[in-house]
Amino acid sequence: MTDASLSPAVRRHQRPMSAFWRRFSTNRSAQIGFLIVGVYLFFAAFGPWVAPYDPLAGSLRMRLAPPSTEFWLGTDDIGRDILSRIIYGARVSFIIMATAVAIGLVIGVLIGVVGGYFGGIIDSILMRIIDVMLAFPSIFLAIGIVAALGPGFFNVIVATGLFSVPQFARIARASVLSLKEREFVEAAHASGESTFNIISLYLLPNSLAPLMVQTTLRMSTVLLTAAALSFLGLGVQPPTPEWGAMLSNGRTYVMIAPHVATYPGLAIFIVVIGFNLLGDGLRDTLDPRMKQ
Amino acid sequence: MLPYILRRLIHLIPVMIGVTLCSFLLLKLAPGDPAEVLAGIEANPEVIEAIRRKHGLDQPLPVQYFYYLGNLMLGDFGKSISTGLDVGPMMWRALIVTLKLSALGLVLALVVGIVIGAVAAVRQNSFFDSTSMLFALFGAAMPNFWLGLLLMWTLSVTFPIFPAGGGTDLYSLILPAITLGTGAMALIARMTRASMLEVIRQDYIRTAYANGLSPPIVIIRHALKNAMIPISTVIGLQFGYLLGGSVATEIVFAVPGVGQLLVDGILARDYPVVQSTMLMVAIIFVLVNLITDISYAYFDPRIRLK
Repeated sequence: MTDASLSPAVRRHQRPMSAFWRRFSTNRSAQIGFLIVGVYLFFAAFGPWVAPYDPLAGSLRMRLAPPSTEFWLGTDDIGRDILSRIIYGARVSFIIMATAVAIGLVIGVLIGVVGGYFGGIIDSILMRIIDVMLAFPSIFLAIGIVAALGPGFFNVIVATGLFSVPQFARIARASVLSLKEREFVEAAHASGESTFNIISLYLLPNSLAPLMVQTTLRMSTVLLTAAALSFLGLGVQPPTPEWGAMLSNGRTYVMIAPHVATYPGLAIFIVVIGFNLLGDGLRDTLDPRMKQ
Repeated sequence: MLPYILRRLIHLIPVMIGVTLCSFLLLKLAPGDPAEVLAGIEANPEVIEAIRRKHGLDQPLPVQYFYYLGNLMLGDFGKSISTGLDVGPMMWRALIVTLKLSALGLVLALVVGIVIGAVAAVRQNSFFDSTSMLFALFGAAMPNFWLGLLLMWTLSVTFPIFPAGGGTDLYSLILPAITLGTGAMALIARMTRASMLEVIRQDYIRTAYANGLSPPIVIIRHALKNAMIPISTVIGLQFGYLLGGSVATEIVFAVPGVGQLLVDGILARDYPVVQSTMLMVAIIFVLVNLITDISYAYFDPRIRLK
């Protein structure tokens, strides 16, 4: 074997980031997902400077106007520009999504890592709590939390955040359980590393790949769930330009002005596709074994 | 087999305690004094005190919890605050509608999802394959309340083929079932395709072909049957997913099911209704998962030993 045939493999080993980036940037779903999420984040960040109109001010003269050159996506029942409301809504949904997923990630990983690492009675108790949470199927857990706390922007974040805890807890626990038997972790034990160091320097960094994939995919679940809660009247309340609440409002006019409900739904749909594609792309590039 | 079932049943005890505790605490967390609510606006303090004693609301919380469990065992779910009627019968009626809708959605998702997935796998990389996988991507990302409104707008407003909702007969439930089943259908189609692609590369499939069996028989009887194993494991989970989706679907099509009951209950602060509905949904979901796990263990003995 010559040096030339050996060096690419060695180089790939030396720079995992660049190898990751090469695979990620040639992955079709990752590209499209990255693009959609990028555009979405742009609107979430710069919405107020891009939106043509005030999202809260309408003119009754222009109520339920169909799409036109003046109002690209038409207006709603009190004459507010739907495009502007969707653009402002990007920020509302992003704040909910990012905060809720962060809550789910932090609490879930904490539960999963503590349970998986210490095992025994602590693990049993934590896993029973997770089992109880999972006994309420999908959105029911979030609805139950909202029922206890009451509707509203902040409570939707808490509800969708806690609703995400079980998934992160299970992934973190499974990852820690498989890692803690590995030689490099045993070596760290033998060299007298503290428990905190073993968890934060050895276990967590090596659990990053599945957690990153789950974080991305969870974004779309939380977006859908929060929008559903608002649609049901249990989430963000009008007049806040939230996509689910806009859709719920447009429902009343589905016979005479279907555009009021159609475009907010389309916005949710596109952003969810974006995060799903990005998540799929990440999964394929970070860990091909996770691919189903 | 029996030890496995017993183990699973024992495992269920803490979950059931937790679920009933959550539902009990939901009523305790709710704002307002339940005795005052039961007594009505004009009741004097003595009446409220009497009601409090009668319902055991003057007892410490753990005692109240056991009262609550006892009442549940007797099938007493309390009375609705807004209608004054027993929650039990209201809930059973709604539950039957929701289960009917979910079952219809699940059957639709399974039949269409499996057929699409299997055909896509057999014709890998064909036009059908790429279109159906695009459909699967879209189906999984579609908010079901949006899909419901779009279906209603096209198929009952613009072209009045289906009723816009309100009914619980099979025909009225077709649009709601499509709305509900599409997400699960997309997932099942993707899973079936992946599973089929793996199976049709196996040696025994080649052997079946070599023995001169016709392609439909090989595909259906040999390949699909084995490809179904991973699908069967997610049916329980998908059922829960459909139960969750039924909430928004029922609201869109005004189907008088559990979702409708629950949302109306929350908006009217009718906590006895909310509490019992949540509890019942959780119990049904846990039992469905138990049955799925047991049947899976029955078909795959390796599971029992884990």
